[in-house]
Amino acid sequence: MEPARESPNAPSDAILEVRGLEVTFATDRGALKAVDGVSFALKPGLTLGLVGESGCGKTVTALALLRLVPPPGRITGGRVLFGGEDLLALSERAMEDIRGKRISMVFQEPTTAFNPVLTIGDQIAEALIIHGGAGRAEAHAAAVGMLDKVGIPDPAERAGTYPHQMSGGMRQRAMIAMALICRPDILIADEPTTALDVTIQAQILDLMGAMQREFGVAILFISHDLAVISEMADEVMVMYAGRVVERAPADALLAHPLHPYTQGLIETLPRHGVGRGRLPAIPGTVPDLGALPDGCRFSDRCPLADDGCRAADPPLTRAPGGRWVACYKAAP
Amino acid sequence: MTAGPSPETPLLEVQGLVKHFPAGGGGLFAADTGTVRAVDGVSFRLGRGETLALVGESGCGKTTLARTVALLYAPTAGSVRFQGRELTGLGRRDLKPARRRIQMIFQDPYSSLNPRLPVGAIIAEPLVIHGLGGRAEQRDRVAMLARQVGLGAADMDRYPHQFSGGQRQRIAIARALAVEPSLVIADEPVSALDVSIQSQVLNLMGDLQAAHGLTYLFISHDLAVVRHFADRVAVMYLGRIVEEAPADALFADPRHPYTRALIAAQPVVGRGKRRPGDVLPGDIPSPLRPPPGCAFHPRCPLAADICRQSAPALEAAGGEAGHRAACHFKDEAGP
Repeated sequence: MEPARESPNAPSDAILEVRGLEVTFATDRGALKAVDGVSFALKPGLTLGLVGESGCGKTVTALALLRLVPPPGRITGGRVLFGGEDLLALSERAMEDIRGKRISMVFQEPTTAFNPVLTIGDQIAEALIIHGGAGRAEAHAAAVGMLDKVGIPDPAERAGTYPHQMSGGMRQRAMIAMALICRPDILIADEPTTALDVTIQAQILDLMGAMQREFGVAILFISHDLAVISEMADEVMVMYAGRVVERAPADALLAHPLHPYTQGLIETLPRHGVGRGRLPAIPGTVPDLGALPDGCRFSDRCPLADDGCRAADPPLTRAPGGRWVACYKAAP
Repeated sequence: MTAGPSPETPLLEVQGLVKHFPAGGGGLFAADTGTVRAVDGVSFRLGRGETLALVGESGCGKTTLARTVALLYAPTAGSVRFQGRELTGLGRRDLKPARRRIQMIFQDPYSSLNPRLPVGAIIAEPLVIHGLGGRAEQRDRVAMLARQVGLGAADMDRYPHQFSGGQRQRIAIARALAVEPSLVIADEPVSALDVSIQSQVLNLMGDLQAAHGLTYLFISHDLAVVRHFADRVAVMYLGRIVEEAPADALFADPRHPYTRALIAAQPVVGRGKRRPGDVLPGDIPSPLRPPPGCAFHPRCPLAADICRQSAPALEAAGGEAGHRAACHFKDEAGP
């Protein structure tokens, strides 16, 4: 067995590979590692689902790929390999050429991603002018074409409207159009449907699937909602308190979770067949990075924890079936 | 002798409830003026000890309905009978006893607690407002409530910002229970909480219902939570109830196409990767300009001429007692 610290995967077909990523926030309570040794790979045409609760480091991980971690956070370790280069070593200028063009992002709240005083069409066209060197007329035509592709009715007319004139669902479609206009290799989607109603969420999830099939884009799909992740991801990575606790093909992870935290997340969900009465619950609260337990970070909430778990943090270790789990007690 | 409410009298009976808001105010955006028909003729009954869930998407009126029943808004029309007594038209003074027995829990425990008060004072506040008990009694009651919701005695001197979201929701629940309500209206009480904390709070609400015989009006957009927690479910769309049924019947045999669409749209763990399927098209219409006839017809796969012309009434549907749907095609075979 190879040592876990090398890399949980080194597939030759990966478009992006993250190794040992570390992000540290300088706070008045000391340096807090919001992301601590996270490794994964993204592959063309496939979706990696990243799931976890508030403060687990999933959004910071995404921002770190684009080197957009807000201060007082800083990337303090690791590599982000993309097209043979380490993005963490690029100049800021070279990085600007990657963002939005090769790697783009959609957010939970499209209102903040758009400039409120520019029309939707102008904003989508601008990305193409900046990154693609297109002329204005050509870029505008491409923007209208993209709005059509993402299912916005009367795209030529809607290109002339402002973000606030659209419904939440339409704005999210427009944001996806803007993210894809330069044909990026990678799309990072951070809670893209969390603010939407369930029938609109279904439309956007279907749209993202269709766009992935059409453009072959690799998607990093971040959500707190295991059900959404379950419907979108080929592979799932679970984070807890800054660390990856489990990674596996989606079907295997959801059917047979190995980590007690993943098991707890799945069991606590109300669902059909569980019946009325009490739900299984994970005791305690979502951890505070400034007050983590010794050893395994989940040990203070874990039903299986013993002295060994409280003594040393378990490394992410290979398990059968292309799986990885960070738990001394996980029975493969 | 005046008869008290008989055992058959529902705790809450809402008849033809309407709540409209004026939109805009003329002036600059005069085109936007009109009436928001937030709640547009809603009737339901809620028995003692029962949990009725109101589900629906944004703009469906579930929160306005909850707040109107909670006496936070004065209804535009219709009747709200609580413990057999009509509440609409009552003055502030006459409403006070009902206000004590109807308490509310909100979605966001970060904004619903006064940040400048210690937790003990927050929980005691309703007792002070309603003049219940002396200082010592109030202190004892607060300590007991804190214990019931899983807070410690030491927590009573701390401030809301020192607690996590789940603990704050426990504080809000203790405050709501302080004055011994019969009806608790919970508006998305677990939606803002982390997944691992949601089940803790749902379990607590269930335990407290059993211990105190509470009746819940439970507002949620999450069908999985509703299916687990509610006895009956009412589905709202654009200010009206479009279907109402015992929870099991609603999920087993939904008769309204909107209910079917909601159930189909809900992501499910372990169903495998999503295949593009029958997704409900279109956006939710504005309650400022609801479509004529059945308000759902522009998005409905079954819509026919009659749906564009006349609004269907909420009538018995399916096989089960208490199952009602407002659809011209409610008796057709399922999807």
